[in-house]
Amino acid sequence: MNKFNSQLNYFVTFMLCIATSLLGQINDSTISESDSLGIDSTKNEAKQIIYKIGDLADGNKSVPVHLIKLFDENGYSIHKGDQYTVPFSTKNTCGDCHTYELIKQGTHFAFDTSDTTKHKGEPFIYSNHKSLTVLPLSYGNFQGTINPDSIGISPFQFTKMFGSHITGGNLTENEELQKINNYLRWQVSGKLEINCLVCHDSDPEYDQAEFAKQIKNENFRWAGSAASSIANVKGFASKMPDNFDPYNTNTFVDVDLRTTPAPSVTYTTEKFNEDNKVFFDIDKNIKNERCLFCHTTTLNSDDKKFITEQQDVHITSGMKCVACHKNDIGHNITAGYEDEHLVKNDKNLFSFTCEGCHISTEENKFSGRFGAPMPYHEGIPSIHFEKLSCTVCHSSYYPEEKTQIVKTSRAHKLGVPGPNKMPSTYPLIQSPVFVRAANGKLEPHNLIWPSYWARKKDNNIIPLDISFVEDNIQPLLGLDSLYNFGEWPQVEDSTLISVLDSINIIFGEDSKIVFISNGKAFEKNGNSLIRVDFDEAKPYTWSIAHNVRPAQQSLGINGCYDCHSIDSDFYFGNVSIISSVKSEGKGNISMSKFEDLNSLYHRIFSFSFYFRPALKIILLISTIAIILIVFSYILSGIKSGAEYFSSDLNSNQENNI
Amino acid sequence: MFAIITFLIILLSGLIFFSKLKKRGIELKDVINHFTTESKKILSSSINDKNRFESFIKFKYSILYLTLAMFLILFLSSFLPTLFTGEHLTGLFLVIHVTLAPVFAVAISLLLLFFSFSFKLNQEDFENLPRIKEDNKSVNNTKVKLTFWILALISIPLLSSIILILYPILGTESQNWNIIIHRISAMLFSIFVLVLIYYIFGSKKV
Repeated sequence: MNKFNSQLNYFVTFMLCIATSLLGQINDSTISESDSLGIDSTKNEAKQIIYKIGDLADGNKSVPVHLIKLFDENGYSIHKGDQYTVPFSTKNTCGDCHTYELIKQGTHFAFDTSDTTKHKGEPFIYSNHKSLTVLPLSYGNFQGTINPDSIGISPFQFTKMFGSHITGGNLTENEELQKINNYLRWQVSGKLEINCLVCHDSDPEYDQAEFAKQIKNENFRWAGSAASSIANVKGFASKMPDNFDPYNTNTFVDVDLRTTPAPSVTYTTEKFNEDNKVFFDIDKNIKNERCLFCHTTTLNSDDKKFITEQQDVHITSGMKCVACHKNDIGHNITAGYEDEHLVKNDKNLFSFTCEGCHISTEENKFSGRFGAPMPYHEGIPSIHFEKLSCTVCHSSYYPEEKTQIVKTSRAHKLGVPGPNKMPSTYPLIQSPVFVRAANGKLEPHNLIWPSYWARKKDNNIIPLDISFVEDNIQPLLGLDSLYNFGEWPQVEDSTLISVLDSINIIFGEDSKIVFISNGKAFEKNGNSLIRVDFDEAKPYTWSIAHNVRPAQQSLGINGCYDCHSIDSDFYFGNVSIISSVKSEGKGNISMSKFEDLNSLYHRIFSFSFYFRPALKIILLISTIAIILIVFSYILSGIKSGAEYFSSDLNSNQENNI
Repeated sequence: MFAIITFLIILLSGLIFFSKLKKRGIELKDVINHFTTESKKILSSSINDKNRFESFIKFKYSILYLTLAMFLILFLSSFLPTLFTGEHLTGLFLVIHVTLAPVFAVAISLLLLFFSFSFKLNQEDFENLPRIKEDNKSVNNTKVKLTFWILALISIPLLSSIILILYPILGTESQNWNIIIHRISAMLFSIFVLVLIYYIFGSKKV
């Protein structure tokens, strides 16, 4: 029955797709951005949602035992000993009690990042050193990022590229996005549903690295099952033909199954009870390790890492990530940045900020949760709290003369099998860079320099499709190094001119090809290369709030000189300019540029701090002198007053006599 | 809020000061002329004056004018940016303010040292206290003395609030209170400087 339904479903969907594409219903250009993200449609659906049994808690603090039946993607229950074994579907298994449509609007799934125009988040980074390309990608309209659609990365490719560190859902299962050119591959790989287990499965056998392996093999529908401890998945959807049907062996009869088996799943029968139910060790209080799989930042160099690398002070004290990054059934997770309560128009969110938890005010009744200590900040004038976010002094790595290079889970595929463990692995992310945020305060950020090939048309920069770059530009550059670490590769001006020449011919006079690197657009003018400043070429930065360092390790603990000295790393640290063009060299930019501060003024101001001890002594002596003089005369005045009144009294007495 | 209140108080005090002086037939330019000519006189006189007593008198007055000049700069560098932006003192104004503040502190302590004896309240001043609303030379003299001592008293919280900020003794909340104390003291100091000038000039015309 399962098999028949699946085949029927496959056939009907395929025919419908062809029919609609012939009618012009599916047209790449007509899919708007909001459509492509499925944001509006899901929100409309939310209005009609009826809560299921597991959506709302009854108030009991214990965790309900999740002894449940498994359902496949077609809604059929999976029984121990079934002949045709299919992966279980989290949408149907977890969705039996939890409203999937409501959950899929959550932060991790919907890519609905309406507030991110102000607060930029970590992008997905496409990095290909052979084509000198580093592109910050985002579906969330972060200013400075590029929408994957615009450089020819389809949702299918995106899922394959970055699926190891995404939770699935929406983009990876939205049928509207399964465009005709990827349609058949989507049918083979299946949808990547929201993998609830990635966060909620507390079973130590849950293996996200296995999930990543399945994504690499395009086994999207199998990935969740494979990562869990109840199923074992083998095979490669990526090696299967376009007409692959897991229920029909005739569809992959030409495939050598000895080397490239078809995807299949085997369940651990011991995990099923007599009622065909399986126990999932589900926890609402997500383990930190689950979050850290995708949200780790670590030093790129192994040098003294065992000394410098440390855990967030909150985690060390026994807290969990979800203690601050909370959500309800809608899975809209609080980010905890300063203005989130204003951006999301929910004053309660303030209590999840550093200030909201650590500073008690009359308006904020939730401060001090988890025993958060109230900071005293001895000797720190309040202007610091107007100009700096808490994270400047307390988070990320301590600023050094030169910004450090870090790796992040998502950019460097940390935690999956086979990453390059060498120091300075591409992309080169610098941290911390102190940047002025939208609210006017400084924040520590991570930074990357975008580097890519683009068309310049009417003074607009339009990035070239990555497939075009890989096919046409990459061979011309001849950077065939396998090493994806160390110094970022650079090319001579002559190479750049020759590549630009060749590609300009392809595009004709309609537009001009430019190369974006180190904050500039390089274009050919005659026989030379000209450099033009473009906003699109500016480095992309995103704010970081972890790891939070303890007070003893905060910036300023050693006094004003931590920042207010003429060579302070906070003001005058060097941010490397990473250029793909050799003639640009390997320069630096002062941190003050990113801080939007006048470097000269701050050097003068910092210089004045050398005289602070003298100033303090002068003020102290002067004040003591004033106090002594004033009080000596006050005493003298009291004496005169007493003399006056007593003489007045004496004269009155004399008169009376 | 503080900025608005301070702005209004200083504006009101200034208006009262100038209108009262005008009633006595004294224009603002007369006040400025007086200070500029007096300070020029002091600056032009030789330091190596043979008459040591004269030199000392000139030194005393040069301290007075230095204090007034410092007060004026500190007033402008602090009140102008804070009143108009409503934010804490920052940037070039802060550098000016912080650099000249110690000079002002030294000057005001010397001023007290040199002039406090002259402004000592005597029996006549105590007798004038019940008649303080009267407008004659003797009462005005008492008013000048009283204003001088009020200024001396205000200068204590004015300076000590900043000293407490400069040392890592107090937390941020207490520092904010210190800033408020400093601001209020500065506002009162400014008002009483106007009052002092008014009484000095007023007594000359009486």
